[in-house]
Parts: sequence; C-alpha cells; structure tokens
Amino acid sequence: MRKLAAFIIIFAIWYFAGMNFQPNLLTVSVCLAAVVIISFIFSRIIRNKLDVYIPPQENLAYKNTENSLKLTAENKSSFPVNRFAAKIEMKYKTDSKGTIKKLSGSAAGKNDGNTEAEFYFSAPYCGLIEANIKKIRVYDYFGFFSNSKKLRHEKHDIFIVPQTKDMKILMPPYGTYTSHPVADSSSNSSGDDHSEIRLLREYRDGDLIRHIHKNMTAKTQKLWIKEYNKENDYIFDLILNTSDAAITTELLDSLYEIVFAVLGTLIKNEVTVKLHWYDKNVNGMRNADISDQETLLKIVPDLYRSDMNCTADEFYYASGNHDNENMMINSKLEWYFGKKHIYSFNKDNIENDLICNVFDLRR
Amino acid sequence: MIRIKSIRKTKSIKIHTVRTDISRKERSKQERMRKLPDKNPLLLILYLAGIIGIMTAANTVLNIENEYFVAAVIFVAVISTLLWYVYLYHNKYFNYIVIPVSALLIILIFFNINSVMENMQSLYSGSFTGLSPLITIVISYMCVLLIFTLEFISRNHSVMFLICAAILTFGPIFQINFSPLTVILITAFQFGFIVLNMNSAPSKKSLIVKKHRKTGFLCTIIAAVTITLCFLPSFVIENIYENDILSHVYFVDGIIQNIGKYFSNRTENNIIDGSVSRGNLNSSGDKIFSADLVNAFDKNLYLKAFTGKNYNGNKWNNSLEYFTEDNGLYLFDNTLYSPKFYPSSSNDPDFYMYNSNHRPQYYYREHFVNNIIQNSINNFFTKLDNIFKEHEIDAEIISVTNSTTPESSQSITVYGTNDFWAIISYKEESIVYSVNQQEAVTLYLNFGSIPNYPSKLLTRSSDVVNSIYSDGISTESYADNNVNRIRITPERNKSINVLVPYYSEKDEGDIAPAIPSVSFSYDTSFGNTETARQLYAANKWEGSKTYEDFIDDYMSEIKNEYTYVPYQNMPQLTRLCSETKLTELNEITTFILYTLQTHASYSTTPGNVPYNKDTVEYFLFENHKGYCVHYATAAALMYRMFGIPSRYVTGYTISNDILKASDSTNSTSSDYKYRADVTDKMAHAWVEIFLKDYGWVPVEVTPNTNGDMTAEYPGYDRSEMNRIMEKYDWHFNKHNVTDSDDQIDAANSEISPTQIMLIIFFSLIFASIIFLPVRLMFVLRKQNSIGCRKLFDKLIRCLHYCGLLTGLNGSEEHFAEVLCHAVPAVSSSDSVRLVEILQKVNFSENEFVETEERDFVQKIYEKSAKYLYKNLKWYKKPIFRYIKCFC
Repeated sequence: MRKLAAFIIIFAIWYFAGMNFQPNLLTVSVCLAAVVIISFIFSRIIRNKLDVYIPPQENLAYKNTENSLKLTAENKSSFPVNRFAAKIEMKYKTDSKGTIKKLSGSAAGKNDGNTEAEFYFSAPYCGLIEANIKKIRVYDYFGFFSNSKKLRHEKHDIFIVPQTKDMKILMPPYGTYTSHPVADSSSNSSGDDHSEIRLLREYRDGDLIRHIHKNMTAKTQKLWIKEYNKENDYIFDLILNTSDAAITTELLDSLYEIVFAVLGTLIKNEVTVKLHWYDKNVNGMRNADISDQETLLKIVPDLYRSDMNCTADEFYYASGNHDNENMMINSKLEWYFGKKHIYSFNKDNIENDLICNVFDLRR
Repeated sequence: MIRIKSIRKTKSIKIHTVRTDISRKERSKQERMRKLPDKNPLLLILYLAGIIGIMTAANTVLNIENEYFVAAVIFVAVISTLLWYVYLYHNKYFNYIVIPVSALLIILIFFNINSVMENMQSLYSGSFTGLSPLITIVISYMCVLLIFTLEFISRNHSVMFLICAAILTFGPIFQINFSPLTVILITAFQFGFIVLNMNSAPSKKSLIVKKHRKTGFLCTIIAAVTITLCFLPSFVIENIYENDILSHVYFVDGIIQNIGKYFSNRTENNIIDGSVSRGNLNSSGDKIFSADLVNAFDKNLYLKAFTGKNYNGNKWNNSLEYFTEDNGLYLFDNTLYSPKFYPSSSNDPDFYMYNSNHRPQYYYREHFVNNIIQNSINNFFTKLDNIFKEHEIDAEIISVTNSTTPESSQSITVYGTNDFWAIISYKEESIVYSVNQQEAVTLYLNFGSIPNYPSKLLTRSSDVVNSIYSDGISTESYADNNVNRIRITPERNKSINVLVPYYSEKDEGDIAPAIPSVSFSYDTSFGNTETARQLYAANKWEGSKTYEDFIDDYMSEIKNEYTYVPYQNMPQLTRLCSETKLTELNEITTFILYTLQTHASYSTTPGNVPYNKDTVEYFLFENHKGYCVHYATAAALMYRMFGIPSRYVTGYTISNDILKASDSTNSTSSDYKYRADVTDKMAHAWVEIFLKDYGWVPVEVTPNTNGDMTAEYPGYDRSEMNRIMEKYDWHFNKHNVTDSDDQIDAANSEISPTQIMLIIFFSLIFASIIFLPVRLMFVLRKQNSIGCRKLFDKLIRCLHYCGLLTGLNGSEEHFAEVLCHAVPAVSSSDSVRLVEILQKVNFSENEFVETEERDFVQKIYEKSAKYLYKNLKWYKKPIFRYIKCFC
C-alpha cells in the first residue's frame, strides 16, 4: 500500500508539475523516480548481505512463563539495514504446525558488529520447541521495496519444562526398596554414625551445627564441617511407559508434568531415581540417574529429543527388567509403584492432582 | 484441601515483542517509554524543516511581510523545540505543561472572540488584511501542537506525508510557484520521517533491538545522501531533457483524456462545445464524419458547430438571438444563411423564420420566448395560454403531466387547428420534437433549462417555407459555379453537433444526430458583395423599411449583443487594448493579429491553465502558448474591446488537400464526386465579425503551420495587413512561433545555460557539504582497524600535502628527524620509535605488530594530523580534512 501510495504521489507530482510547467517540482518528481530505482537496487543488495539467526543461548524455559529469545542480525554490508522483518516459526516437535510471527527490527552495518534483538514467548505445553527463522524480508531505506530471502539455519531447540511442584508423597521406610547397587554420593544430611567422613570443608550457611568438626574448629579457629560418604537408602527405578499411545504434545505435556513433579519431590526426599524411557532413535531404553535438580535438568535434552513412540511389544523387549518393584508412569497417566496403583491423573487437571493429593508409596 | 485454580491452557505458543508478565502499571510505563521516539536531533531538524517548509509554502500564497514571517518562523521553531525537549526529556511533565497552556490560549481566544469574529468577517468580505497577533500565536501554536502530536506522540507520519504531497501536487494547479527551498524542506520532512519511523516507530511487530540505536541516524544520513545524489542528475536531466519529459507528461495526459473520452462516450473534441480548454489539445485522430461534395473547393471549408455569444468563466455561452419587432419587420440572426434576411410573411406577420444554433427551417416566435425569459416558471403556463389567445392559435393546454420521455421534462398537450408547428427543446442545445397541428400533440418542456436557455416554441408557416426556397439558393443550382453541395454523414455510432457550412441551405435529411446524413447547398461566392446584395434585394420587404434600414437595425442590435467582455477578469488585456487607440476595422484586425503573434506561439500542448487564472490572460501574458481556441477567444474579446461585434465559433475546417475522389460504388448518389474524411484533429475555432452586406464572416486568427497569419475577409488581405504593419511599425516576432503542434516551445525556457551551470555548481557544493562529512565519518571509523603501514602512508600524505617532505633524503633516520622537526608535538624519541615500528612492520610477516605498537602509530598519526591541520592556511584546510588526510 505504501509503495502504491508513493507511486501515485510521485506520478501526481510529475503529472501536475509537467502540465503546469513547474520545473522545481518536475525535478523533484524525476529525483524521486531515481530514488525509487536506486531503492529497488539497494534493497536487493542489502538483502543478500543480511543474515538473521538464533544464536546459541540458554535453551531451557519454563512452561506458562514469559521467556526471552535472542536473535542476531549479521550484516555483512557496510550499510545499515533500516528495517527487516523476520518470519519466526516456533512449534512443538510433535506438532506439524506452530506459531508463525513476523517481527521487525534494524541491523547495523558490519563495522558496528552484529545487532542483537530479542523477543518474548510463552509456551503452553512442556516439550521440545523448535524455533526457526524461515524467511527474512529486507526493506530499503524508504520502504518502497522489500526483498525476501529464505534462510536455512538449523532449528534452535528450546526445552520447556514444568514449573516446580511439591507433591505430598508418603515415603516407604528406609532400606525397603534398595534393589540396586548403592549410589555413591556425598551428603552431610544423614549424620549417620556408620558413614565415614569423606572430607572436611568450611562452614556454609545452612549446614547443620551438629556436623561441625569440633576439634578442627578449635584448632584452626574456623568452622569446619564434616561431609560423610553416605549410602543412599532410596534408589527408585522410574519407567516411562509410552507404549500403545499416540505421542501428542498434550500427552507429553501431561507426562512431563507428572514425571518432573514426581522426580522433583523424590529428589527433595533424598531419593536417587533411575529414569528409564523408550527411545526409538536408539531402538531401546535410555536411562539416567537423577539425584538432584541439576541432574534432573541435564537429562531434559535427551528425554525431550527421544522418540517415545513404541508398541507394547517393543517396549516390553526393550525394557528388559520387569522387576515388579519398579515405579512406572504410563501413557494413561497412571502411576504405579511396584504393583500398587498410586494414582490415575486427569490430564485436564494435572496440576491440581499433583498438588492437592497425598500419594502413599508405603505398602 | 487447598483448591488451586487450574491454569487454562492456551493452545499455541504466544510470541510478543514486549514482556507481558509484568504489572499493568509497569507495562504501561514500558509502553510509554517504548513509544517515545529516539532522542535523535535529526528528528527535530526534520520536523522543523517540515514546519518551515509548510509555512513558506503558505507564505507563497499569503505574501506576509518578511519581518512578520521571520518572526513567525522563529516563534514556531522555538515552540516546536520546547515541545520536543519536554516530551523527550521530561515526558511525565508533558501533559501538565501542554494542557494548561492550550487551555489558557483557548480562554484567551474566548475572551477575544470579538477580534476573532472581525477577522473572520474581514476574511469573508474580502477586506482581510491580516490576523491579529493573538490569533496568529494561537493558530501557530495549535498547528505546531497538532503536527507534533501526529509525528511524535502518535508516531503517524502518513497524515503529514499526504498533506505535504497534496501541497506539492496541488500547488501547481493553482499556479503556486514554490521556491526550491520550500520543495527541499518539504521533501526532506516527507521522506526523512519515513526513514526514521521505519527504523524506530513502535509497533507490535517491532523487535527490541539492544544495540546500535544510531542505525536510524545512519540510515537517515544515507537516505539524505541518496536523495541529494539523485537530485543532482535529476536537475541536470530535467534542464537538458525538459522538453522530452514534458512531451511524456503530455503523452500521458493524452492517454488519460482519451480514456475519459472513451468512458464518457464523448465523440467530438471538447473544443466544439464552446469551452475554452484549460489543458492540452489531445486529438485521437478518430474519424468523426465524412463530407461528400459535388465540387472541389479552393479555400478551406468552414463547418460551423457552435457560436459563442458571451465569454465568462473560461466558457462561451451558446448564441441564442432574438430581436425586437420594428414596424412589422423582424430581424433574425440567421447563422446558417448569413447574411440573408427574410421579411416576415404577410399572411402570418407574427411569425418569422429563425434559425437558432444552426438548426434551419424553424420559425421563431419572438414574443413568446421573450415572455418565457422574462417571467418565472410559475406563470409560464398562463403566459403560454395568453399567447395562444393573443395570436388566435386554436390550442389549449390540457394538462401538465410528468413524463418519463424525454427525461427530466414535463409535457403539455396542445390541440391546434391551424397550420401550426411547435418545437420544444428538452436539452440545452438541441431541439427534439416538432409537431403538426392536425392532431393533439404533446410538447415536452424542459423547465430546468428555461432560466438560461429559453425553451422555444417554434412555429412554421408553409408560406414562409416556400419563400425560403423560392428566394434563397435554389437546390437545383448547385451545378452553378457558385454553388456547391455538401453531405455530412456522421461516423457510425457517433453523435455529432449539427455542422453547417457558411451561406448554405439545407437540402435534405434532418439535422437530428440520429439521422444518417444531412446535406446542404452553400454559396461559394463568399466575399462577392453583389451576390449578397442582389439576393437580399430580391426579397420583398414588408412596410417602409429598405434593405439598408434592415441592415442598420441589425447592426445596431448586435452592438448590444456581441460586445460583452468580462473586463474584471482580464485586466492586462483590457489595458493593452485601451492603450491602443484604433477605430478602423482593418487596423484593429491587424493589431489583434500582431498582438497574438508577438505574445504567443502556437502549441497544442500549452499545459494546464491554473484554476485561479483566466485562460486568455494566462495564454497571452504568462504561458504564451496556446492553440486555436485560445487564439479565437483572445481575438473575439479584443475585437469587442475595440467595439467591434464579434463571435467565437467552433466547428471543423476541411482543407482541400484531404479531398479525394469519391468511391462511386459506395456512394448513394453519383452527384457527390469528392469525399473528405474528417477527424477530430480538424476541429477548429475561429472568429466571426459582422460585415455589412456580408453578414457574419469568419476570420482566421490562428497562425498556420509556418507561423503566418492568414486572416482574410472582404476588404482585408495580406497586403492590407502588411500596409498597416508598416504604418504602425509593427513587426512579427517570428522566432516565437513553433512549427509543429507536437513540439514544445524551447525558446520559452526561462533558465539560461549559464544559470544552469551556476545551479549545478552550487548544487555540487551543497552535495559536498552533505557528502564529505559523512564520508569523513566513515573513514575515521575505518581508521581504527587499518594497519600500521596504511597509517604511515596517511602520515606521509599529510606531510607531503603540507610541503614538509621537500628536504627528505629518503633514509628512515632522516624521516624521524623531519617528523619531529615538522611536528613539534611529536618528540624525537617518539619519531624514532615510530620508524622502528615501521621497520618491524616492513620486515615481519603479515604486518604483525603488537596492538600497543599499532595504537602508538595511530596516536602519532592523529597527533601529527591535528597539528598540521591547525597550522594550515584556511583554504587548504577543507581539502586536507575532507579529501586528502581525513582528520
């Protein structure tokens, strides 16, 4: 529209200036016509020189919160780009279509380095979002012309995780469910007499007073804390059974909500969880030990990138260990511990289910 | 159990350019800050350019005195700057300042409402001398605030862009000549804001760009340089190829007009309808009609279509003549049969033959029409009834009914028993209905046309009809040398005006456009006094009046009818004619031809006439270009200014060179031996003056293709013209005449080559003023990344330009000495180190040096350049800074 209006105005100035013999305005109209031609050429030149991509950055984001994503506009030309519009597509890996939005910005010339821009997004589901800049459109300085260019950058993965939820889980007594070799991890929480002191370290806020090494503290006039080599009593196997279900974004969202809530709560209860899930890419099960929040977040890329589609048979043969003592969450959103059915979650009200219920893991 | 409201899932990923997970207050604050324009001084400069540009454009019309105008510009600039400063730097106080000030000014206006009203009244009455200071201040402030709101607060440039475009576009239509400064300021404002708004205007799609806020500034600079660089060649191109550019404009204008003609279904050229065209003459070359002739002819054949009576508002009114009764004799203006005068029939003294608008064979009843004109529509029917009774016409008005045919008219039904004909016009210039009395008839009256164009009740007496054919030119006499016969056949599906040759009678067919063809016999002995005199003398004149009396009466009548001039619209032409004291017709004709020849040149592409100008004044005294309608209008009015009755006539001119032998197989009558295909290019306008014994004779006032005036009429020819020219020492200005219709008159170019060169020179300086600092900026930025060797080269160049390397022997050690000697700011140790670094650079691979060493070289270079620049002579400084050494 702007282009059409500009053409009409230039034509009108040229026509009326000519018909009424106004040399000044005739010159202006000729000048503007030349500007239009140059703008056209210019828009093609700067289009070829501009590249917009999503740089490597923190790719973990929380569900239903506003997250930012940075863009980098790399202009190889000395001339700055007054305006470009980037067509950004964000879609869940399991969806065929996503959200496409055109965003505009400007880019400095190459002497000023790359231009950084950012935008915000909020994701309604947990899962893997693939962000991609499909196309850019570069405008000339007057906005007469624009030229688009398709970009073929690799998709940028964003992992949407659920927000932390505290479940009320009634844990079974110590030693009851240790079916695996003991995981060796440092802890100072137990204060168990049977544990050996692994190391001494300086006191930090939050350390228990009873762990203070009195002799050393007296000698050095500094507070020293004893750290013990602890035997973890709780080691659970948590199996994600995604067999015989169409893996959709909504299903994965529900599963992740449950899994993260369960894992998060178990971790807080000093439980080490061995998570098992099926990945079609490796044609078998994948495993990960999760003992704290850090390791929980570390497994997210592997978990999210896995293709969990499988039949019941595939899952059966792949999982191998059919120990009934395992904890399992299946695609019907049912939670089993051993043979005991703990809870069936309602996918429409998962958050309430997770927060408001008390889950009894005791036999 | 604690109930937590579940979060409703949205089904798609939401992408925003601003944070939405913040409080409303915080968000509105962010939005407000986001909408604030950059604190870019360029915005203010462009804004001021726009405001001042609009003010200078307005001043082109208002012509305010310089001191007041400068004061107003300063006031507006100060107000604008203050608004800008407060809005950008103290945004939260903006409303607290602007609203009270605006309210205060409105209150002041309210208390001075009388002054405002007086100003308004003076503006309305035309006695406007200027606004009072208070109103000027308030209006200026309000305008500035409005534009500021549009540009900075709402960030909507489109309104002002369109206003500026309208100023630039419509200015020429009203012949407002904007100065180059105005055009440059307005254009800079128009396009500068586009560039800046594109870069920084907030929108829902705008990304937050974290770095390089100066991108907008650079883009604007580049855009300005682009426009400037385009302007220079455009200026040269416009001056060199102005004629070509104008011819393209006119070509486009022709296309537009022809498209309009196509859609409006208008066949003929617009010069035929009496309007004096305000634009170019765009003829399509389409065939309008064919003219079949019995005999060939020598001189041009004039076919009349329109006769103009009064000129007003760049248009000629159609001539509708009627004259007063005098002792039973009636004069009538017979356009077609000019100069024939027919006595009224003794059997029917109240009726006489009249031919209005070249429509023959109708009889005009003068009293009736006069009454229609003089009385309102309300008593029209009473008058009509009275007229019927007065003249014992056995007719009565039965009813007045709405009728759908013809459109926009009403009908009356008239019964008549006498030999009674009636014709009523339903359009302004055409007659559509004629009836005989044998049965009840319906007359269609166009009431809407009565005030200007009286509806005509036209009656006919068969006796008078007979007398026409018995006394006039015999239809059988066309074989005579003096009589020719023409048949006009309109092109299929084309309606044309009725076209009639001079000295003619209608032979056959009808004049209505729907009729395929009409033929006339016309007297070719134009200019033969005896023929005309004998013809009139043969008539039987009623009463005691003789032919001479008749002529005298007529001439005294036309002096009242055909001498109207709207003097108030054409002061220059009035002054020209009033300063020339001439009384003799031939001298007046020569003076008119001389004036036309010296003041104008023929061109079918004179361009548009501004709407606030009279066409004739603009043609003769400003544009000096025009074509036949302009020549004929000017000539007709000049004749009238000298007291000579004259008429403006349009029609077609057929020259004998387009005659070709008629194709006998296609011809319906073997009598017609010649045929001319007449196109709209042959449409023409000329002047008629009344000569005793000759009647209305055409005078050709438009120069021919050689630029020669060829006006002739009985008693006036070229030799007479030359005699009078010599007598008054008048000389035609030949060079002022173009040879071709399609050529633009280059001689009228107002800019000489010297001026062009000067303008180019100053434009280059102006461009340099913009271009060189920008280039310097880029070079200085690049300087931070160039290597030691290039820096050293630049240093050598600086020293060489300042003439300080004349004694250098070429050794590196000597260079160090020369440098510290030439630039005291550089110590000898620094000079030595510089040379060492350069040696290292020269002998190392890839010019490798430490960063600190490179910085040292740059520091030495900058220090030296600054010192040298400071100590240079003033005229060397610009070249040193912007071209040679860049410091």
